[in-house]
Amino acid sequence: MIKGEKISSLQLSVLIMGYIFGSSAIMNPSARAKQDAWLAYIIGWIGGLCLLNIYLYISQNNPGKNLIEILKHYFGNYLGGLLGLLYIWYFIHLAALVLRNFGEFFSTNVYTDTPMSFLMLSIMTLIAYLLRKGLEVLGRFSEIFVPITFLQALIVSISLVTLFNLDNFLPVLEFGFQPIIKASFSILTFPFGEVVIFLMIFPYLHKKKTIKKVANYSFLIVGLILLTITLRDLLVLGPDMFARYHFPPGITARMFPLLDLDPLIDNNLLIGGTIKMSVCIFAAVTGITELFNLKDYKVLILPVITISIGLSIWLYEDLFQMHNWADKVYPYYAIPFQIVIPIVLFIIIFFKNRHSNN
Amino acid sequence: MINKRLTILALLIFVVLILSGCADYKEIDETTLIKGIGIDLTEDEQIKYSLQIIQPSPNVSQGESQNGATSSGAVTISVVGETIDEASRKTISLTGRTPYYGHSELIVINEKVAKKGLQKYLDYLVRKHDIRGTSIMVFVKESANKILNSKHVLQKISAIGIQHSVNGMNQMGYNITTDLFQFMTALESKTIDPVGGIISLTKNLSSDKNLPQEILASFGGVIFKGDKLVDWLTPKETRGYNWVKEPKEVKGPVIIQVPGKDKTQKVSIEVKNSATKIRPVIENNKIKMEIKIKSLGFVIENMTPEIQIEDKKFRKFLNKMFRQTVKNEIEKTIQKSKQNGADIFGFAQVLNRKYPKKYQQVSREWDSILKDLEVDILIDAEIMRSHMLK
Repeated sequence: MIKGEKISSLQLSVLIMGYIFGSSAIMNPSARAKQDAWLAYIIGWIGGLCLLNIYLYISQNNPGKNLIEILKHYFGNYLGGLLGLLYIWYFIHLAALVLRNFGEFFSTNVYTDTPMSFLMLSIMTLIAYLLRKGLEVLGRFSEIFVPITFLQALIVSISLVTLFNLDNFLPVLEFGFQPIIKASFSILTFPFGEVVIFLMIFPYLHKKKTIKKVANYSFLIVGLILLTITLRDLLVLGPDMFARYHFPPGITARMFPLLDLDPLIDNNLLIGGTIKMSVCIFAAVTGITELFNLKDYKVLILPVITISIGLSIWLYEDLFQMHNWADKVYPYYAIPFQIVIPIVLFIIIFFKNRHSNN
Repeated sequence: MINKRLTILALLIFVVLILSGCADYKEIDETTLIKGIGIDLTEDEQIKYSLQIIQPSPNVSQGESQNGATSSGAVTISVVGETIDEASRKTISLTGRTPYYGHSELIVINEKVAKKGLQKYLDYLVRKHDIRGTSIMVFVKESANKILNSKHVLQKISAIGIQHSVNGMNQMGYNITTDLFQFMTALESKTIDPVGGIISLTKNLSSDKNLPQEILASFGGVIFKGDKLVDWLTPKETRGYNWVKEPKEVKGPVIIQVPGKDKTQKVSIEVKNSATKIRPVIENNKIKMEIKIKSLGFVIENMTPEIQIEDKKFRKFLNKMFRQTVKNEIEKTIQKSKQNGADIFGFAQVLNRKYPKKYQQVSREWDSILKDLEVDILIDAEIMRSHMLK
């Protein structure tokens, strides 16, 4: 853990909310379940809550230690180090994925003629500045902006209430449970399971005791906001069109007669995406610092950011690959990082605790 | 020192890059503001694409007249292309400006195009990011270009006028307001067939010299099977559709013929607060539909001076006829829908929503089921008031 960085409970809470909100503001894997999207979403949400509490258990039993230290402690220097390295790769990769989502959204919906790399570069410059100022500044940034995103999401949802068509829910379970389970698994791994990254952030919380309450509450609040977004898109667009568009929220916002609400959606992505990428890169650089026993993490920020920009451009050839990856590959790719390794850790810690209690 | 200078240099370069302007800027005098879109087919099946553009004029603001109709004019241009995108870009050769679709309000589609299968022609309009899904779609027997070029009584920009007329006639139930998004939703859905509004040229009955011989008027609707136009609806049939699908829009009048020697004795009933429910019923493994309509009537015109609405017997008669007339209108439309095999009421959708398993069993032979589908129409309508007169 890096000395000298501290965040308050409120800051942790807004960080978690902004992080989960992030690119889910525009992409919704639950659309695959058509009219049962809401059901898939809720199942994924509950699954995410279980995962979050596993992560919390791990963190609470290792106070003041971040994920890399915990891995080294339980798996030894070599295996633990290797797993840590994998996690660092995952964090950088995640930052690149979010960055690419961000770039694709803006070049599809808003700036159709601007080179995508320029958009990415601009946002990453901001993130580099933000992170050089430290975690606390990121926390304060979120304190100001995350409430704004929620307000915007609610404004869009409420102003579209007249266009809601409740018949879009029917028929429930038309295609059986299988597509719902698949979609809910996608929801579980994106965005909820990605909270695993907060194992790198939890140690910086000022009041350690509040951690469980703060994390669970913020998880529930952001889950509710995302649920309203899912419901809104489904009810306004209808199941067929919901599944047809690349980025449904941008279209939903345009359904409002005589008024363009889609800048609000763009704003949400801008803020949520910034927080998500910042957290990813912060986790990656602190992880590297920890793994190689370096003193200062700030020198690593620019190199890691450069890598993630390069990676994000190199990741996919086109938008279709991105959707294919997000829908079909990512859920499985995320299993070891979000589910397998944390559960193994959980089991080890659980039995060690019982052993020492006896 | 060197470090500081380097930083400043880097910043300066960055500033130059950023302040030199947006890559995506659109100057208003380099774009054409499009209000209406028209799609026709040429004889060799190429696309004849018409755009109604607001004519840029320096003193638009002075030309506002009192009734809110702007007097800034519009011009309609037309080009031929293999795809819609090609045609759209070709308009630059005429205007010298890039088309901007953010303000489009109307899409006019010729019968021939719609009969060929509309989905391929709509793809561009749905895919392009600056076209709003709220543009109204209308179908025409004449060429779309001619319609856009025809004179609307009030609006100088006929696209806006047509949009208002179609929206307005929806109140009477004699036209259907479908926007691009609703149309696409019905197209994408497997359980309902789309419908559309129409606009046509009718003879001008007024002797006002400022009006041309033929003016725009909107009555009727069209029905689709899949993405192909199959039939036209008369105004009354269109209202039959609206009774079921858009009951809140329909305001009447329902006209009732009073029996007697005098054939001109009629009563007009205004309609309020209608609500409709479609319910599938499965009896002995046979599918039946039940349409329930609730409505209130206000007598707005009584052309039988010798009888007052107060008269109990007369009211009873009116109530009966009111229900009967509405029922007849709906039945005719259902008949037409069955004839064409176009499920415009979404009976399949209703069935699928209530009994998904049953629908999955029958979805393959749905066309034949629709042909002799039994539809019960239950109408609960009553005359409530009679406005100022007894």
